[in-house]
Amino acid sequence: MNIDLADVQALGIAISAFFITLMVAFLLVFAYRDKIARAMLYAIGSGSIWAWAAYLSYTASDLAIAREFRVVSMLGIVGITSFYANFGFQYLLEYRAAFKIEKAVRFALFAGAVCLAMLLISDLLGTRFVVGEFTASPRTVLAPLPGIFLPSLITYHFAAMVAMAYFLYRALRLAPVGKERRQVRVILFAATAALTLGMTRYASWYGYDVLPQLTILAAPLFIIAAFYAIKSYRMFDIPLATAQLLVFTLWGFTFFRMILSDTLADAWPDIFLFVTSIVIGIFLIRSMLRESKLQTEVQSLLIERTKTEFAMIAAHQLRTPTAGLRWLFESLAVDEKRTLNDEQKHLVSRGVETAQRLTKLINDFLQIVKTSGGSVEYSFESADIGDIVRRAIDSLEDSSSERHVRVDMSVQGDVPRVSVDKEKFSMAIENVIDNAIKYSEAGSQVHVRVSAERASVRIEVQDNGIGISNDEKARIFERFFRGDAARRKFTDGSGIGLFFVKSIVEAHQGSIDMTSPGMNKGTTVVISIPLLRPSTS
Amino acid sequence: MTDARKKVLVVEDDPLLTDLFAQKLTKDFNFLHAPTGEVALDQIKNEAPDLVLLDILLPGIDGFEVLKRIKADPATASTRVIILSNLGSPEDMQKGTQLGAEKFIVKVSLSLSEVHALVKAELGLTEAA
Repeated sequence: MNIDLADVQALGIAISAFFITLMVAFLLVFAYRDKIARAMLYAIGSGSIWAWAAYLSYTASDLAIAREFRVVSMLGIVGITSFYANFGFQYLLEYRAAFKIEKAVRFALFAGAVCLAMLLISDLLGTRFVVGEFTASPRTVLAPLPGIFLPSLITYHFAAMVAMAYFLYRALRLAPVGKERRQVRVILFAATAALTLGMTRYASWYGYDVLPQLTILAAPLFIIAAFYAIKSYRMFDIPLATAQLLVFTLWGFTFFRMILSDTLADAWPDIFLFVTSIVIGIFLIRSMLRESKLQTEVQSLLIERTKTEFAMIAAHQLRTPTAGLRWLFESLAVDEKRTLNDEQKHLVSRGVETAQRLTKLINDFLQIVKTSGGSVEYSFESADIGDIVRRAIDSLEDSSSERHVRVDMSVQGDVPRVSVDKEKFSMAIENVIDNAIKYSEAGSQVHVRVSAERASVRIEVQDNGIGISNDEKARIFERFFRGDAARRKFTDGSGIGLFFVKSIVEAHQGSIDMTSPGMNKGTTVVISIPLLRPSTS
Repeated sequence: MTDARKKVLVVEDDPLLTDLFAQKLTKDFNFLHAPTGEVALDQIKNEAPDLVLLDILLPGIDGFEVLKRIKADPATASTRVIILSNLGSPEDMQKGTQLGAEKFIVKVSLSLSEVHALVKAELGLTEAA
């Protein structure tokens, strides 16, 4: 083993390169499932390119080869800065949507990175746009001569760093107080410090040696920022981490044996061992990760089931006092009618209505919990959709008369029978028609059309009521969502009707769509159900 | 002519519902009450009610267990039981009828007058002239 003082700096760069590459391997096992991990992977991957190319540039004996590796390391720097800015952007998206200007900045940085990458690739092919010649060995001079576009790269580095700091700062402001906010703060400061210190290196290109020791801090800070970002995403699982430690130790051992070999011929067995240990290590980590993921999924399912059961018990418990209230008011209304004055009768009547509304809310809540927990059972049988729709309209006769809204129905052509759960599908149709009636003006009409398409039956419910805005269309089937106009027309309403309708329609392998030309221009709901399948129960 | 002396045992732990049941049913029946499953089993043995209105969610043993024990004991197996509960899943209803309940009614879906009418119908009582 031959180590002299001149090799210490090379060793330092090699160690940085090693740790950065470890993180790349670590992130590779996670990146497929997490976009933040992917964003970090690209940044750290670029860091790995920078570090290895810098090491190879530093240790190259031929100046031309040293320059080529330096060009590659500059490509790594463009990658680090642009992908770190992207990482900051993705982190911010965890808390809120991006503003247009932020998206524009991100796009501009991406475009800038592409331009710089093209200049650097051109430099690999012989030009001197960014990276000039080495005037002496990299072990004695710190940098080659600057190309005319090096200032552009430096400006880009600065702009990307500022953008990254901005995105992470905005994320910091939005992160909940506590552990999460501390983590974002560490990443912000470490990443910004690393990229700032890295910038001081450019001074050496112009003959100024600005405290080169400071730039040595850049790599560890970069590693800290990356490590903290990875850790903060709770990617550590004890058995997995233990396996990783074992694998990383093996990698470390084979890596140092490889770089400390005297000659390339001596290094070959160690290179082989290093590569083999990486491949086997990654397979081992991935299989442990799959197991860890399975355990996490099972745990999530158990938690979901517990929540569902708890919610159902809570709802059932709420039904008891609700029944009591309802019976109390009904008793007053019926049994004590003769002793109550008009005002008292009115109050009692309001009490009955409120108790009935509370009952409906609790029943609706129970339905949500059952639907969310997947515990609604369907019993399919052959049915005539026209009949179902007709009965739904009949059941809503009181409501439509009260509101002076006329509901007409037409069946176009021969409509084949379909396989439906009659009870639940009727509920869905009633809900849609009831909405159309509720949100229509007095004197208007609701049209219900049933027709057959090639492979399905279509039910269309069209009204001339309050309509929905474009923004609301995307959310109209969400649980608890109510449009502004709907809320103004009726302050009551849980916002779960359409969620149920969609759940029921989808359980029938069907589809539902709601369109509206705009506010106060009516709405059309189209439900499509595939044609008859064998009945199942 | 209605028989006011028919015994109706209400197994219910909620005080408000118990009071409301008492108010409604005392006019026409001999109203008995048990707040827990254990007390209900004693009452059934001692009083031999004509009809039991049985809640499921009770302190101690639940209504299903009470029903099982009623039907398992030859002395009480013929007691008529209507489950009156706020549990309403198909599984609960099936369980109740399989254990021998005459009917499974979800409390919150009926008014008290409807419960009263149901009891009268079960006991074969006609309306008073």
